[in-house]
Order: sequence, then structure tokens, then C-alpha cells
Amino acid sequence: MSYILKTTQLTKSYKGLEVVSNVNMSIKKGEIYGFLGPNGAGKTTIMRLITNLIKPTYGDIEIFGQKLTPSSYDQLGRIGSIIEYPVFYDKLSARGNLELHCEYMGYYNNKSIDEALELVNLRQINQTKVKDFSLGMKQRLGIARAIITKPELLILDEPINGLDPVGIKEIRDLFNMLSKEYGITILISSHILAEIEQIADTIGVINQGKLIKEVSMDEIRENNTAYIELVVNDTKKAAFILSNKLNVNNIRVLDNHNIRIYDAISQNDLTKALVINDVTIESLHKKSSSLEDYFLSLLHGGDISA
Amino acid sequence: MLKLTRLELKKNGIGGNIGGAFIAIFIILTLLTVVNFEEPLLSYKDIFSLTNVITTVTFIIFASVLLSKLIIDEFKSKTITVLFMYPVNRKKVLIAKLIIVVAFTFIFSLLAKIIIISGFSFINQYTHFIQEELTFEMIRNQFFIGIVNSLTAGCISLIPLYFGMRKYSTPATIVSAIIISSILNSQFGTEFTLSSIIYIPLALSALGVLIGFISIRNIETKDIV
Repeated sequence: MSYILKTTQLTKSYKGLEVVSNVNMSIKKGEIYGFLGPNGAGKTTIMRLITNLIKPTYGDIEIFGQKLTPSSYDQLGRIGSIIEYPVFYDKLSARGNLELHCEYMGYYNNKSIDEALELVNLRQINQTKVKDFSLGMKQRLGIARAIITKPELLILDEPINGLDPVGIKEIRDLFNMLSKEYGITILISSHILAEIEQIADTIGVINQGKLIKEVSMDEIRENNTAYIELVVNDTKKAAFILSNKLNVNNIRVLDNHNIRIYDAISQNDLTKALVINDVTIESLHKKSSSLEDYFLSLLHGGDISA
Repeated sequence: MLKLTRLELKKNGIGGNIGGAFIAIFIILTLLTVVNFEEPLLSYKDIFSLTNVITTVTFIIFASVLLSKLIIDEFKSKTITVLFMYPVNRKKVLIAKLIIVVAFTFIFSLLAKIIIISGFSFINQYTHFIQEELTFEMIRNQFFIGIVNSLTAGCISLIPLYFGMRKYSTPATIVSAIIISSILNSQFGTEFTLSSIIYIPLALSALGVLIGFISIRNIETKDIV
């Protein structure tokens, strides 16, 4: 399995305070790696370390099999990125910015600018200067700039920030397409767990500068507990029925109305038993614990998040 | 390097600065003529010295505007982070910017002197402000002095970079340029300026180049946030 990015004991401190501590992360070629963590955990700092904007206090970064040094420039040509929020030359137009980008990257393909703008759905913007763009438009342009040279590694810091729901879906499909069709490796950080859940292959969780866990989504899904979410009028009665009549003990009563049932039981048996015993069922849902549950339990399992 | 310089020029719309430079030259020439209507200067020596002083001050200030546009603004608006994520040597990028500033100052400072003096002598043929004859020798001497003057102006124009980079401030850059060039070139009578002591502009030129070096020196290892 070849790794496109590997960090070893990556550490960064500012004035004695370690903002990134001993991070060992690895991203396989061709996968989509979701970077999760609370605000201030160090995700953006790590991304800046990877793109050589800041230098590590300790530790190494290896990209494309080569160590990253202050004077490594070639690797940068194979990376496309958005760090924090995309910055542009405001007095130029979108096209002007993209042309400039291609020139600096050494990428010469006349059609690629139109193609990239098309892919992020940024139209009707021919002569508008970037300073007159809305947040969503700037975000889309940032994504366009990152992907325009079809780099081998995409580093995206909250790429769907500021996008409308249609845009979010479009960009999600775009990332899936880039990964599947072009084999582009994507490192994406986001607070929107539902989105990450849908596209990531591997998850890395960062808290207070430390990489708490690096695990594949498949593993998370496997260990996902399926449960039935039951909303009734009287949970005491329902709980009594469940343990005495149905012999279902692995349950959690959340409050006066909500119960989660982790034992396997058919919904038919459940509803029958409850109805016979005069328990009003408001709703009954089959659910599986989401990435959100996994993420929150991971954070609270360790330190309290910042 | 040539490609980098070309990209910098394209990126920043230098055309405006060039236009402004020509307008400034025209204004200086006009002022010079008008002043002579009021109270004629006595000799070509006065004209030369006045021209040198005014063009030097003007174009050091112009240079600081360019420095702001090319360097300070990029750091302030963080577009420098975009620039530094490209597969191009950071030092070369900054050197390209500095070359543009120094070259602009040198070229326009020299060009201004040429245009103003030839323009004035042309006008003088009709208005006869100055009775003196303009000899070839005078022109030749003045030309050499003009070149040296423009070269030192080019190097001195980098000094405001130090002041601007401290807080990424455009006003700091321009104000420091105004102060430095004024002190250097203020005249007592029409004879003496600090510039006449040749060592002073030379030392300051060296300082300017040194400041250029310092700005570039650590750029590869420095954190850019």
C-alpha cells in the first residue's frame, strides 16, 4: 500500500505551547481522508505544515515518498489546496486568477479553466472582479483553483464552508468523481460530520494537537450499533414491559419519552407488546449510531474538548 | 526569473504607475517653467541641481508606492500564502519584485532628468530665462551625474521596505520614503544637500541593498501564517 503522505512525530510549538503534538498520520494513495476535530484542535496548523507554509518544530513530513524540506518546491506542484479560506488577487477576475495559477504551476491547457469553472458551477462571472464575489462564489473559485491542475493530492480545509445545499451536494459529487475517475487523493477537514461520513474512506480525529484515532470508515460502520429509537408516552411502563415481558434488557432510557433499544427484537413483537399493554407509541425508528456519536464519544472518552 | 518578473508586472497593473510617473515628469517640467517666469534662476548649474533633487525625491516616493503594491500588500492580504505554495523558489519571487522596484526607480529617475532638462532647454530657447550657453561638456557631465544619482536612488528606494514590513503597513512605507528622501535632498541655498557629500548616498545605497538582502534571507525557513 503506498502512502502519499506520512507524518512522523510531527510537532509544532509556538512560544512553548505545543499546538501539534507527535502526530503520526498516514494517507494512502487514492483515498479520501476525513480530518475531524473540534475548533482549535490543530487541523489547519497541520495542513499548513504539510504545504510548507510553516515549519515543524520537530518531526518529519513525507509527501510522494520524499521528505519535505524548506526548499522542496517540486512536491508543491503536485498539491492543490485551500487552507482556511481561499485568498485571491481581488483586483483580477476569476479567470485572471486561474490563469495566473496555471502559469505559476507550469500547467498549460487552454480548456482547463473553462472546465474547472464548469465543474464548480461558477458561471456568468466573466469580467467580475473577485472583490465583488460573494462568500459562496469565492469558495467555489477556491475549489476550482485547487483542482484545475488535477493535482495528485488535494488538501481542503472546510471546502463546503459557505455553500448552499445544492452546492454542497455538487461538490460532494465532484470530490467522489475526482477520487474515482482521476485517482486523486483528498485530505478534507470539515465540521459537517454528515458530509464526511458520506465520502471519506479513512477518518483521522484530532483533539488538542494530538491525533486521537485514525480508522477506516468501514471499521466504524462495522462497529456501528444498530438500535431502535422509541418515543412513547410513558417510558417507565415501556421499560418494564421490555424487560419483563419481552426480555429485552439492553436498553437506554433517555428521558420521559425516549428509549433506545440495543437488543435485537422484531418491530412487530415490540409494537404488539406495547399496544396490548396500553403504551402509546409516538414513533418507532430503526437507526444506527452515526459518525457524530462515534466522534463525540471519542472526544469525551479522552479530554473534554476545548 | 524573467518569467517571474513578467508575471509580477502582469499581476499588479504597473501601467498605472508608469502613467503616473509620466504625469509627474510633466508636472515637474511645468513647475520649473512657471517658477522661472516669476524669478529666473541664474545658471544651468541651478537647473541641474534642482532637477536632480526633485526627480530623486519624487521617484523614491514612487518606489515606495510600488513596494507597497508588490510586497507589503501581498503580505497584508495573505495572497503571499498562495504565491508561496507554488513550485517556484520563494527567494526568486521576492528578488523579481525587488528588481522591478529598483529598475523602475532607476529608469524613471534618469528618464525624468533627461526629459526635464532637454524640455527646459528647449523652452529656454524661446523664453531666455538663462543666458548661459548649454555646452556639450555640461550635458555630458550632467548625464554621468544623473546616472549615478539614479542608481543610488534605486538602491535607497529599498530602505522603506524595512519600515513597511514591520507591521505590513503601506502608510509606514510611504511616510518613511518621504522622510528619507526629503532629509537626504533638502537644499540650503541651491548648492548644498546631504547628497553632495557623496559618501552619504553611497552609504544609504548600501543600506538599501542590505535591507533587500535581509528581507529575502530567511524567507524559506520563516513561518508564513
